Amino acid sequence: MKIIVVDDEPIIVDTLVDILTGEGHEALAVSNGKAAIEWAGMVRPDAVVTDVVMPGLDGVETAKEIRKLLPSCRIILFSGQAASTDLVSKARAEGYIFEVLAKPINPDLLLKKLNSAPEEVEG
Amino acid sequence: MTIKTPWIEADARTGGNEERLQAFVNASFDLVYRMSPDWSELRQIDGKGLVANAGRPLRNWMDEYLLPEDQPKVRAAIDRAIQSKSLFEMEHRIRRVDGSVGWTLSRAVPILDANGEIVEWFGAATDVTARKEAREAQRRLAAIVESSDDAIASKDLNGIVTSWNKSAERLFGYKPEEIIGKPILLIIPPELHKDEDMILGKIRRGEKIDHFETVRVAKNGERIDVSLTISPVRDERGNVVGAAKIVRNITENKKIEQALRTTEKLAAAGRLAATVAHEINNPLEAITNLVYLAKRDVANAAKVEKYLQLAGRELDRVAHIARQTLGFYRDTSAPTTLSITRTLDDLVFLYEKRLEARGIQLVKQYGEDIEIIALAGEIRQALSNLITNAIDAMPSGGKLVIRAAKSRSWRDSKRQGVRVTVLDTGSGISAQHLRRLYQPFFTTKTDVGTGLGLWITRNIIEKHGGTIRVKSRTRAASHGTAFWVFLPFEGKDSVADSGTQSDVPANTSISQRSR
Repeated sequence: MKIIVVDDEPIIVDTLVDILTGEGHEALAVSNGKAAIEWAGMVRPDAVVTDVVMPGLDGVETAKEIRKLLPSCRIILFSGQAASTDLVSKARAEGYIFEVLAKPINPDLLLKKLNSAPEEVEG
Repeated sequence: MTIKTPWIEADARTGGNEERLQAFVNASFDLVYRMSPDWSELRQIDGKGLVANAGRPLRNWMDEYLLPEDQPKVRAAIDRAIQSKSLFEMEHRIRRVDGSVGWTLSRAVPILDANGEIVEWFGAATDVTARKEAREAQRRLAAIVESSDDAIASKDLNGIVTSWNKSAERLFGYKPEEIIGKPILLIIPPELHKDEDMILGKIRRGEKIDHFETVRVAKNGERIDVSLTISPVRDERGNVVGAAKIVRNITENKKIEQALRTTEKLAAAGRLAATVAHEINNPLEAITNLVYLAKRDVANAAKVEKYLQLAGRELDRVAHIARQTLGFYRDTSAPTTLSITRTLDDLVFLYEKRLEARGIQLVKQYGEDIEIIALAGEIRQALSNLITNAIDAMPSGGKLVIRAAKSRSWRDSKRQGVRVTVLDTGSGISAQHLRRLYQPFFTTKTDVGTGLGLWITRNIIEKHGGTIRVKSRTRAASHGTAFWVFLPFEGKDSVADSGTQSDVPANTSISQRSR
């Protein structure tokens, strides 16, 4: 599976990419939303895992752009801040439904999630 | 102006005194008139500039000089005087020569012949408009004072009460007769008696006291938070002879302020929780991943060591943040020794990520450790508000300068303390916003904040005997905002001359050393 990981904290993207690669995925680390959209257009990933609260383009806006670009791409948002739920529900009101995980994510759980079909997110 | 002799012809009894009477008429300020026995004809009038002169006898004199609605009343008084052949005396309105309506006090005496019949009336009238208006103004003022919701009282320079209105009676429970003539100290709590010397001192120097917040005590012993405005009362020569004071009960305001403070504390705690969540969950995410990797690569000792090293660093970060923030809003009720520079360091550390994310360059200009005695949690909150405001003012980068240095008070150069400067290069605050900056609920940030931050900041600083100043520029070439805070080394001691003395709650003795 081709996966792009987006987070402004290098240690988080680096470790996640290491974990995903170890499980046989092709993972790419980027540090901001703009780069994520650019790389998504080039590598056409199967999944994108992105932080929500980031400087510049936030994770929800990034996810919306990628959804437009690659409708079949799996998008998982992860966040450590309560403020991000507002962003996510705003996106939902606009018709964008994303899976959301709270930081810290258990890596086993993330891997299991990626290997299973996306579950319906409750509205 | 000379009046011809007809005045004299009329009076049979004045005989050879024509000149003396004429002189008297001329010398008088009063207008003088002669009336026919039944007042149907005004025979002569010298208006003295007050009313129009009449050169010839006037039959419709009432229409000429009186207002229509006043005529029946005046006529009735005249009829009574004619009937009793005695003095006519009445205060009534007249049309003045300039067209305006004034008040006059008019008196006329009947001149009787040998048979006791009225030959003529001889009268004089004085303009009493000014006196009447002054009296009315005084009555109006007295009515205002009496009906005011604020307690209004006056005292002489020895502090003896000279007047006492209804609201004063309601507020303090003393009836006017119980307190007029007694010392004002009756309503001043014993420990604040020295205030009265300060107040009287200022009044004697002719100074006014504006909104002095203090405590007074009612007859039943109840303590009342009040705001006093006291003005010197002067005699006509300008000498201060006493003081008039307006007392406003601000007990309710104080309660509301306390509630607002609590609200802001909760809101600040909420904002802090959001920041802490972000700052803690990120390192936790990293640690979780590193632990996973260490387990996965357990055979590779070099790799595991690297992961654990990184995890340790992230753990330090979590621990540091927890230590800083969990102590952050602890309600310290006793002042302690507090390092201003370390407090600033902790705050900067907490907001480091936010600064980085926005591309804000931080310039720290302080070296030596500066300690003050204060309520640590409150001072942290005050400084934190200034720093987060500065960060919020620079959404797309800029420079944040934080300075701390030993200094002296702007108000009193004998008071030593620390001056903290927080300066940003944001867009600045417009003059119209600057005026309302410290008002509760004033905010330009509609999405975050309660509009209480700076209000509470100033509250905290003033409670510690400090001062806060702001300067802001909004020009394109040079813009930004600077806040300066002065905090004395040791809370505040007696500051009788600053209006905020009673702001310090009785249970916090800030000047007390607790080392």
